[in-house]
Amino acid sequence: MLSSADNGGNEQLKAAFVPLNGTFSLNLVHSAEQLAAIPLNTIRVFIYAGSGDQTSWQENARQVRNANENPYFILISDDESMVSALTQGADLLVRSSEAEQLPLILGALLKRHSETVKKEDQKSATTETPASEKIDELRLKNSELEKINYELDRFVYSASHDLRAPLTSVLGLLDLLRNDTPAGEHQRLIDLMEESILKLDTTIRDIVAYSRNNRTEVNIEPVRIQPLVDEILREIKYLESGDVVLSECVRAEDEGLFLADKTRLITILKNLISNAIRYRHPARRPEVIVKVHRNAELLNVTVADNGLGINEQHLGKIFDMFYRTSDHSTGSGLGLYIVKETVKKLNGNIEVQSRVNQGSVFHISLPLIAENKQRFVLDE
Amino acid sequence: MNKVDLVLFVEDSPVDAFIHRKVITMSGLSNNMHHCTTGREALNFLGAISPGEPVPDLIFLDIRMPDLDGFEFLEQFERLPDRIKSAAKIVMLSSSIDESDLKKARSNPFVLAFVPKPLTIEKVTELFG
Repeated sequence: MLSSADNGGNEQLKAAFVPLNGTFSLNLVHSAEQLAAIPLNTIRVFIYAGSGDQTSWQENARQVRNANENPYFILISDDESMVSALTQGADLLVRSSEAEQLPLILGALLKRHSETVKKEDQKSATTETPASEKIDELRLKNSELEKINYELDRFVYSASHDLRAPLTSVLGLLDLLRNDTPAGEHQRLIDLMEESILKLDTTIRDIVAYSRNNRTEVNIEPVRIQPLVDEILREIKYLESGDVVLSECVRAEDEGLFLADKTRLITILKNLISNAIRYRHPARRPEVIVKVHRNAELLNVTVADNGLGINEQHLGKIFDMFYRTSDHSTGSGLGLYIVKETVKKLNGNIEVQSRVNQGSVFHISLPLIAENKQRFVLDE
Repeated sequence: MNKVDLVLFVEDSPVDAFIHRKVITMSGLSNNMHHCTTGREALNFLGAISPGEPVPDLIFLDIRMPDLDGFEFLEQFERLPDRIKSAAKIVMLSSSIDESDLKKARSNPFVLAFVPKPLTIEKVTELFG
């Protein structure tokens, strides 16, 4: 780990964290010469707390990158112009008021690193596991497989219909095209074909997202809500939003930095935001507000909209696989099911409140991981 | 083509409803159609027909629909007054390839035929031509 600064701001950093189990050490440098004195290929995290000077951090960064595989770059600066650094190789920009979160962030990064190291060690390990442990492992694997098979059966039954439906629609439209439908109506037929195919594509993408959530491990990293929402809006541009300008309708309330599984959080928010736009009220402009709030125990995420709302009789079923309240939508029916499963994977909880014709609010609470509560102590 | 006076189709997908409408018109089967988007809507529609008013002779019924599906509709259809039940023949339509769905449809006394989607002019001609 290495930190570089040309002002006294370092004192706060130094007091905030120290070696973790003796495997990492902190080096403070104040100049390029001092930096050169350190074996650059050992640097895992590079924290730059200098003044807003793009060239000097970039120069340091280049040096370290040339010698090292892939260090994690953190910039501490209140200078807004430094935001562009994120596109030039920096991994994280932290404001000085948020510096107190660095121990948590470093803890998460180091945990991730030590897990990678552990995995590599395991691959080359040659120790024998006792037979009883092996049997337990097999039993566990077996019941996991049974669960997977059962889910797969249910899934195939539902999916086969939902995957075929748009195709039979296209076949029907093609048949009409063949049967001397007047040329003036061709455009309509073609538009409807496209609509069905896009719907099929959405279903398939959702299935892939569902599978990915099931199989990948939880990966915690520092996140800010606004860039996440920006990324999501870029991805859902193709939605039937009509004349709606997404960036004006979806707002994130930024409470600063927090730790979360970024990919899964994107999956959750993307589905909720897409639904909010899809099921918007025809008489007014859609408004979606995404709020993230951290308290001592939980990360609370809410997505509120002013759309059509959900009828009480459906509320209990909306999280079921392939459940749709009506067919008047481009959705696959998998979105909320995926959200529920993703939240479950993060050991969280999801609730919904809704009023027909007024809108809905989804509340998600995710327990903060144990590492978040770890406090580092000053060693010297 | 043996013309039919009134056709009712129960279909939740707007695209498929569009197709049904076109096929029924272009095949010459009927010029008189009524469309319901859910099973419940269809039951309400049928239940509200007073004596003397036209009753659908033919009902195209989708299997997979939210709320009340095709089979649940059939259960409730049985409880409708005789003048309605006896007038209508039911054709079940579906993109379902599930064997049990097929069997269930074919064994119902009110169901004339099970037609896999899409509904086409050719299929209509085959059934009613």
